[in-house]
Amino acid sequence: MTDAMLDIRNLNKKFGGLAIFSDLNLQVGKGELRCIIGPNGAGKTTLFNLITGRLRSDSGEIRFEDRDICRLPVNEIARLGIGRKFQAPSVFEEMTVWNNLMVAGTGHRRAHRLFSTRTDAGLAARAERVLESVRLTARRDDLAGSLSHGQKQWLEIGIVMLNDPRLVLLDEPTAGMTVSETAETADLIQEVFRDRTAIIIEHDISFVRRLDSRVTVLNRGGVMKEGSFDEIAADAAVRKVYLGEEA
Amino acid sequence: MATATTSPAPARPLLGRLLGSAALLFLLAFPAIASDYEVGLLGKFLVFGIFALSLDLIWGFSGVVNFGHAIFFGAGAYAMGILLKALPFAGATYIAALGGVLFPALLALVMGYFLFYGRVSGVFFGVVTLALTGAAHSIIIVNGNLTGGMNGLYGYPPPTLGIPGLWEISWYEANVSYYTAVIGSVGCLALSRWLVKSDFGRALGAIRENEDRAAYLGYDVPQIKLIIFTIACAMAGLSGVLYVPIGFISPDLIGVTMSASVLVWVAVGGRGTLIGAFIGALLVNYLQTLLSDAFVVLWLLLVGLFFILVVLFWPGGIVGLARHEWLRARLRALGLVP
Repeated sequence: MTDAMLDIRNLNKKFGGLAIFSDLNLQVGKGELRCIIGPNGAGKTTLFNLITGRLRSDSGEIRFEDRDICRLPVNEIARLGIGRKFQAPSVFEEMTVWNNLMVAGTGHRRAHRLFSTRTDAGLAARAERVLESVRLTARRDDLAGSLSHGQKQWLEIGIVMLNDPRLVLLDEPTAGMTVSETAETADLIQEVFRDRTAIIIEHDISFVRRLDSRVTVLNRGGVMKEGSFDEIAADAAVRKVYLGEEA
Repeated sequence: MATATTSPAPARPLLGRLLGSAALLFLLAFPAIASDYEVGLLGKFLVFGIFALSLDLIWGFSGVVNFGHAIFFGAGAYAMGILLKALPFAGATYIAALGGVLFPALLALVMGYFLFYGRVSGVFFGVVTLALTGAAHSIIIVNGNLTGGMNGLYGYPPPTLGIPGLWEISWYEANVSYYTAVIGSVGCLALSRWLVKSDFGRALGAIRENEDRAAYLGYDVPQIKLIIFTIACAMAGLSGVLYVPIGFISPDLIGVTMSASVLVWVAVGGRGTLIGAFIGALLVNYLQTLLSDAFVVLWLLLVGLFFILVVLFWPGGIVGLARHEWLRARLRALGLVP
């Protein structure tokens, strides 16, 4: 499977004596929406930290569009086209909603191309559209710190969109949201990341069901099972380790 | 979507523009209404204002505290003086002045490279820069035949402006040194405003708030910090250059006291406001001239006390306070607050 956008092979990572991943293999195809579930401590967030360059793997390969990104710094991996949304909303609270989006839009530029005060019309137009998608048009000139928790989560989704990655990593995008917000977020994600590749870590099973995507179950340092939501939900072993009491 | 509905940049408030124009008019007319001594004094305060402005660019806008900022002020003045001495021909002043800007910039580039790419940040950056101030001071004193050592640098030919060989005018002239300080202030302020309003300035704000998040967006954080640090230190060097015709080149310019003073000026005026750097530098230095005769020993104590009060009760400095009060007054006018 060489046409995978993200191709992880034999990935190993230990924290001290604790093996987080032993020979993890994971491929995500172009245009795919993939959910990753797994019990606490299965290494879901660690996986994102390895892909984005925050952490270094002990061995193994992470290839993005056929390029080994294992030893690249965080910002260069971002510039190659991998965007990340954090679990706790990570927005620039002292900046306005609008500036949060604009600063995301210029993130890939070389430094000398930042010395301009002229508003990039193309970028501004994209920001307007994103602002509408994440329903923050009315709050554009407010400080991001004044938004509600759910709005911050949405703003961060907007930030990731403006950053224009080809691969999007979303770490629990509905953390701390109400049931109706969660459903809306699932629709939003399907809408805005439709033509991109996305990997989503999620705990909320109803959210995963609603996304109706391929699901990977991580457990004990490797991939336990991969398949459609229905296949995963029907798997007895998965129900035992993960769905647990719901089984 | 065909056209972008970009919001226009908010117009500067009328009051701000009026105040700015009035201040500029006052500065331009000052030599007509004041004595040479007073003109020299205001010129010196403006030069300190540029120096404070350069610190505000890094401290206020990128969050990097430089406890050794005087290194770059002194480096500018010394580079200018040494070059004047070494180049005894007409027009050398321009080369010396350029050297006084480029040398500190180069110094900042080298120092910043190791500090930023070595991920020295926060308190540690402060400690390292403080230590480097001491080192720079010692270098000046040890290399006596180049720098004049403890006695300071003197004996260089007087700097002259104008057209070399045709029409030369001494930079020591009170009005000349004053107006170069005014031009330098306005130019540096305009450059700084543009810088913080640019995409670069916005990226700087993002880095100040959350470096990690900015890196995940693709920003090369150490590189951006290095750029603003180098620009700011070049500006500090320029203030050192402008200081040469007004003051005396001595090791004190590089000392810890000078580095601490500029932090006080910026904090008092209002960190991250640009104009606050000038207000702080002017106010503190004016008070110093006014009060240091009366309270020779107590003066420094008063400055220290003032600084503590500002930090504790007035974190936004004078400009922050003014803006805050303005905002409240406006809201009151709209009937939004009692």
